[in-house]
Amino acid sequence: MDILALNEYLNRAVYGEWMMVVFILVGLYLSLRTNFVQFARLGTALRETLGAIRERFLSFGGQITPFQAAMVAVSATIGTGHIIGMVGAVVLGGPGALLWMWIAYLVGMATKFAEAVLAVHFRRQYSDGSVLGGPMVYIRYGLGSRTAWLAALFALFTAVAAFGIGNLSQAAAVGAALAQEFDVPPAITGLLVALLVGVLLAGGIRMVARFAQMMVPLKLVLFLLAVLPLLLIHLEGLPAALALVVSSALSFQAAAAGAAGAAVSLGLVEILKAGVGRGIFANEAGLGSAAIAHAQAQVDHPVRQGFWGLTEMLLSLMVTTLMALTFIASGLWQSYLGGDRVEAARALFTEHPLGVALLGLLLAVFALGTMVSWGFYGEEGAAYLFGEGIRWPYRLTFATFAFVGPLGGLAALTSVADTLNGLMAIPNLIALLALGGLVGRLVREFFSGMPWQPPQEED
Amino acid sequence: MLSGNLAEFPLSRLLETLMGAARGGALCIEPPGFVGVVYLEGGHPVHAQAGPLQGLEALEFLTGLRSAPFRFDAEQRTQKRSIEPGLSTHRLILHQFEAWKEIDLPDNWQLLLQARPNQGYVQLSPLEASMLARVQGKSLAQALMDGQLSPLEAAQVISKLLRLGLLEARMYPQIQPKHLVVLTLYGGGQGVAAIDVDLFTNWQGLLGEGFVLRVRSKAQEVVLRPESRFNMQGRLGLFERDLRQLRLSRGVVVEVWPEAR
Repeated sequence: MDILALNEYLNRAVYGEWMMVVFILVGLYLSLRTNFVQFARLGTALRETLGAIRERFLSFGGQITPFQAAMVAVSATIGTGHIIGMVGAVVLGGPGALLWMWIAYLVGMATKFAEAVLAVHFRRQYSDGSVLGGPMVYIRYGLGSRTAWLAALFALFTAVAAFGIGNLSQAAAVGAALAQEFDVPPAITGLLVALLVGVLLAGGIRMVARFAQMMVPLKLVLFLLAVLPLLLIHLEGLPAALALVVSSALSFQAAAAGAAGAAVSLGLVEILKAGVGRGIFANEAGLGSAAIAHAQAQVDHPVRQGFWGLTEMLLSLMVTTLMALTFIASGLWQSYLGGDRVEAARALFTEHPLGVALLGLLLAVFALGTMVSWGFYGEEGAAYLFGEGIRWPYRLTFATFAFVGPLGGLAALTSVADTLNGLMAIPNLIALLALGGLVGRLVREFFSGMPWQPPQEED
Repeated sequence: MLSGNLAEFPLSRLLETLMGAARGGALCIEPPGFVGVVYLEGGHPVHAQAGPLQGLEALEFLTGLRSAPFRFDAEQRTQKRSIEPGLSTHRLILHQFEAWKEIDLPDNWQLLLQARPNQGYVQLSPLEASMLARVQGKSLAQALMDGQLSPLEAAQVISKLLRLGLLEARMYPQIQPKHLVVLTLYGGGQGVAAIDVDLFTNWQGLLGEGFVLRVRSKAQEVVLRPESRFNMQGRLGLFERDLRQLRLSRGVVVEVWPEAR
């Protein structure tokens, strides 16, 4: 078996249905351990995050504020997958996929919460004020030195995966969008993207955070500007779309659908795969990537940062839901069932008053934000493995790949990186299972007013 | 106008000089924190005042001062009479000076008295025990002007408590209030104000083990028990119940400063 065949096999496994089951089971387990914190404490979470938004630039004395840390994570999470990927889920699984996506999101909220809590609890702080944290750190210090190899694996997967999902794929999306809608040559796009990413990463986490705190509101405003007019155009179809989401959640049959207008029949497995798959991979809950950003937040108690994890999921859920409902309400999904998701998205945006160009701009902005945050994730993974000296070489390499991305090629590397991205979940989910009890204890302590006691550093 | 410092010109000599010259006027003694005045007529004290004390008690208090700026103003007179001029008063004043010499107290009466945890067993009289409880957090001058005992009696008890190590007299610097942002603490706690561990350690170093936090918001001012927590820089953690009672909410900026308990 050659490397590419092995990669394909692994890719199918890590994004396959069994892995989805594992994601959901871990989410349910963490929900139980935290007494369903995502529902029971949702009000507190919103008060602590969006309710305290006026404190967004108020630090607890660390490098970045809890809000900024969350924005780095949101900037990475809300990417092109929230637009094209969401349309793709409906194209593959029909409207019913949305219901399963919601369920996956609700379960995944506990996972993201636990990741943020553990990231803050186990992070390492250095005398210069810098912080290293994320799944590799909570695996290493939470599970003990015998699992150091697992932590190293996670760090390796992150450092390499960042070049795929966080770089080549995104840069290619930016390049394609700008070339298609604005006739910008890919080489120019590549140069600009590489410069931007390089400069931002060179500024360290403070610069990345400052960029993310501007980028996320921009993404949301741009998204609403793109979707709300479309939703208004198809407002009449919205009640029917919602009814369809529920009624076609178990099975779907259409006499004439898809590009060919042929009879289409979707079984529960296909609908589940499309919906749950989007509900898991769109928000990165379980992958552990967002935990790297949350670890940077200086906060008095890990649970307080965990609330940002919940809010992050709600924001992601809002974007994907609005996108899916707009697409379903438009009725276009019937014509594109089983077809091309990019074409379907473009067809939807042709009805927009500002035209398809807005989709191009939206995708470019979404992809840029994701790239910068993922560049930071990858750099943290590399720094964990090879020490601080790797940071500059990593940044330069990352910027170089950002230049190559819009030009195309390197498909094999993108494919391998995509597999490693999926593989990141395995060490992370093992750690979440093992440390679920600790997360539950931290939640109980937080709500009984007990101060946080960081674990003793053994280094 | 005659002026100087009691450290160079002790009060006993000053009064003798004024008596010998049969001067009339007001001898103002102005240590930090309070003002004492002794009014003289024909060289004899006729009225004295120091904080809330008047008459012989005020004079008794002032005779214990070893260092304080003074000035004699011959123009300043009073109609008040709280001291009977005569030989017996003169003898009493001399006796007070002698008694103060036997008492070992710090010269700076602005020092704050603070109870110290004692390692061993110490037997105290009810009077001493009650004094120990009463003087906590007060300045030495305030403790001597307490009113329950005469200044000399109070000085004797405090001197003993200091010698036994049950009390300590410490200089507290002027601590500027910090502006902290309120943060919600969850749970059933009450009466606690959580501050950052570094700030807590800093204030503890200045004020000693037992200190309280005074929190001032727009609406009111309260005293709360301090608690140190990690990563609370710039924040003041208050429990939900306290927040409701104080009509405060998360994100509000309050003034906070420590006070010796």
